[in-house]
Parts: sequence; structure tokens; C-alpha cells
Amino acid sequence: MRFPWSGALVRVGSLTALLALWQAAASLAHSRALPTPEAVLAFLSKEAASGDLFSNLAVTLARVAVSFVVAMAIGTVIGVAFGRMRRLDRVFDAWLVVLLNTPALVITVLCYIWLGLTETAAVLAVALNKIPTVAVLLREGARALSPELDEMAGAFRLSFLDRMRHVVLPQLEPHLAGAARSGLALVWKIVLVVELLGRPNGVGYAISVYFQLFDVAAVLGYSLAFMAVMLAIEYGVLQPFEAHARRWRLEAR
Amino acid sequence: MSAAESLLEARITGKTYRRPDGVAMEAVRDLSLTLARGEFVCLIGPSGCGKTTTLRILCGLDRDFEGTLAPDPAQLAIGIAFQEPRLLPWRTVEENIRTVLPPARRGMDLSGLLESFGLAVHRARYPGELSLGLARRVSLARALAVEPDLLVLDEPFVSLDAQAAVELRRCVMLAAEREHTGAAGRMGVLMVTHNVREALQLADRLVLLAPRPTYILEEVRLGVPRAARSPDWIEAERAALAARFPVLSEV
Repeated sequence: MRFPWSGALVRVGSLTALLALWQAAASLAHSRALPTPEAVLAFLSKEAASGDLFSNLAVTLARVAVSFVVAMAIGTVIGVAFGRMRRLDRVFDAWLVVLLNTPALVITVLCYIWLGLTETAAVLAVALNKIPTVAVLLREGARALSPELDEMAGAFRLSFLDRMRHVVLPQLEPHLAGAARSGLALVWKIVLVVELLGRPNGVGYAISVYFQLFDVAAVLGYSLAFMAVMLAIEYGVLQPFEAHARRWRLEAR
Repeated sequence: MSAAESLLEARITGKTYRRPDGVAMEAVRDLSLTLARGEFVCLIGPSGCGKTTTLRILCGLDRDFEGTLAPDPAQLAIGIAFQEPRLLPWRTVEENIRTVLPPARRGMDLSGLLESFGLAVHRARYPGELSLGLARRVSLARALAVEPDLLVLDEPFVSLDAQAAVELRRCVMLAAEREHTGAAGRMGVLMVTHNVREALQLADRLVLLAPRPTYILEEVRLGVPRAARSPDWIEAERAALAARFPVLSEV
């Protein structure tokens, strides 16, 4: 890109236009169902002053973090194992397909029924929704591992850890990054549903309470606050990490 | 090089592999070879004769054969430069070399090695930015960095332009002449090639291989020191060999 700021300018302009559109629609509609941006902002500052906003965000963020890490770890191990061992893949591929096609709501309800309305059940429900997609992506990555580099690592007698760190994980990195980005988007949406169904705190819980009170400004306020946090993680953590991991690629320079 | 200490003794009675379409191919039949420390041996033969298969068996990468190797290659420090450089694209030149070192030597100073191979200016570059000739040099430097008892080179000069081949040949010569002062003593070099001129320029001994299933047609010891081998001498030797072994003129 020749003008490094032009992309950012376009993005800011486009978001401002969206805000103006919202403002115009809200003024025209003049309804409780569509509050103005100021009303939402007023709610946010009130909720922030009372501390509820941050405590709910923190609780939800912690659930997102734990279930994301659990899902990535288990999904990666399963995916790599399936990708490397054909027989394992043939036997258990059907299980993966079943889990992949089970609705998030069904998994969540079943987890709450079997484990009770607990934190473990909530995190497990989110992780179970994410594990199969991570496993499928990483299975593709493991199938594409280079046999030449594997032989090189064997010929120079690299230890298991060195092989993982220097030979295997860099090859899986694009698949891991893809799984992480699609995973984060999926996980935080499911966390809200899981909180709505069976947790006494968190953004999902707050939204369900304000939904029952028909307080749309509050519902929008919480959604926007949480979206802002997730976008900050996407741009501030995931994308720089990906850029760092891809620094050796010529086309990325 | 009389009374040289033996480095590897191989007796391969047979090697059969299965092609992807299921047809069994006999690659090697009755091949016995001894390699001494400090010796540079070239395996020469027509394409597809089983040179690379033999090389893989000798350095312990292929264990599925009939016969014996003494000592087991796992007991030797082996440095391999594969036909394709096989560098890690996500590690710099220097990191590629460090990665294969035993953990205790990871931090060692590589400046001397990089300098002698003309790689010092490229140490922070990624393999994707290197020409094939440079990448092969890195691959050779990596193989030497492990201070091997046995250095294995699989067609190191294939598909290089003349200039790059000359530079790499200088590096191989440098590697072969390098005195090994470590406890292991001098290393042996095993190189596979189908280029007789290269072999005549570099080797102490030529091992001529028959077409598949391969065995040793003849071993030729070259008495003339490397430095004294003129282009005329190489040409005369090559012509003489080609006259005795018509199979070589195919390569």
C-alpha cells in the first residue's frame, strides 16, 4: 500500500457513516426499540461508573480465554494425530463429523444437564463447540507436513521438542492462525449464549436481563462494549502475532 | 593413507522397494563397501541405478534392507547435504545451522564457518531469498557444523550454473581438506554424483555402480593429490574410464 493511512481513513469514514445512519434512523423512528447513539453512550458511562460493566466484561473475557485455550490445545492434538495416523482418522472421522454438526445450543443444554449449572459445564460447552473445527483445520495442516524436512530432522537427530518447535509448528502456523482467528469469533459468540442459558454473571447474562426489561440501549451498550474488546484483541494481539510468524515469507514484505 | 582407520563397513545383500503402483523393484544386490576416516569416496553411476538408495542405507536413513552395517550409523555423527537444500524456510541462515547442533553447542561462535563458506553477509537472511547455489552452501555448512564423522553429499552440484558450481566445489574441497582435531578424528566423505569429471576432481576413490539392481562394477583409487589434478589429467582419466566402462558414457 502506497499511502499507509488511506486504509485506516477509509475505515474510520465508513464507521462514521454507519453511526450517522444509526442516528438518523433512531431520530426518525423515535421508538424505545431503537435508541440513539447518545442514549447507548449514556448507559455505558452509567454502567461503567457503577463498575458492573467491567466486572461483567472481565468474567466473560475469562470464560472466552479459558475455553479458547482448551479448545485450541485439544483440537490441535486431535487434528495432528488424525492427520498423521491414517487408521485413527478412518475410525474416528465419523465422530468428528457428528460433533461438527451438533448445534451449539444442543451441546450447551446437554452440558448443563449432565454437569449442572456450573462454570466447568459452561467452559466445556464452549470448548466442545470449537474443538471439531480446530481439529479439522489442523488435520489438513498435519497432512501437508513436508516429508523431506521430516527426514532432514531425523538425519540430524533433532530431539522431539526441537522437531516440534523448529520443523512441525512453523509448518502448522498458518493453520493454527486460521483456527485461532475463526475460533475467537466463534467462541465469544457462543460464550454469550452459554451465559444467557445458565450463568449468574457476564455479558450474556446482562444482555438477557436487559432483554427481559426491554432496555434496548443496555443490550446495544453491552454488545458494543464487548465487540470493541474482541476487535482490540483481533487487531492488537492476533494480527501482530500472525505478522510476526509470517515474517520470513517474501510476499508478505 | 595406508593403514587408515575404518569408518564404516557395509555389506548390503539386497534392497527391494515397492513403487506407488505396487510393483516391487530390486534396487541393490550384493554391494560391499568400506569407507576409511579421512577418505573421500564418490559413488558414480547412471541415473536411476540406485545411488541415492544406497546412500540412504549407508547413512542409516533407510533401515529396510538385507545386510549389515558396522558400526550402526546411529553411533556416528553424520552430516548430510541433501540434493535439495532442505533448509527451514522460517529460520535464517544462521538459525538453520544452529538448530541442528547438539544443545550444548547451540551457542557456539559460527563466524569462522560462515566466513569460510562466504555466508557471513547472508547470515540473517531467510532461505527464500537465496539462490540455489547459496542455499546448497548453507546446507553444506550445516552438515559440517555438527562436526561429523561422516559427511554425506547427494548430487551437490546438480542444476547449478557454472559459476555457482565452481564456488560450491571450492567449499566441498575446503570441507574435505579441513583437518579434524576433535576426539572423533578425521571425517570420511561419501558423495553421490553422475558427473565423472566432478568425481575425478574431488575424490580419493571412485566407486562405479552398475545399473539397477546395482552392485559395484569397479573401484578406482586416484593416487594423484587433489591440488595436482589438471583439467587435462581429468579429461584423460575420464576418457580411459569411459572406454573401460561403456555404461559411464551414458551419464
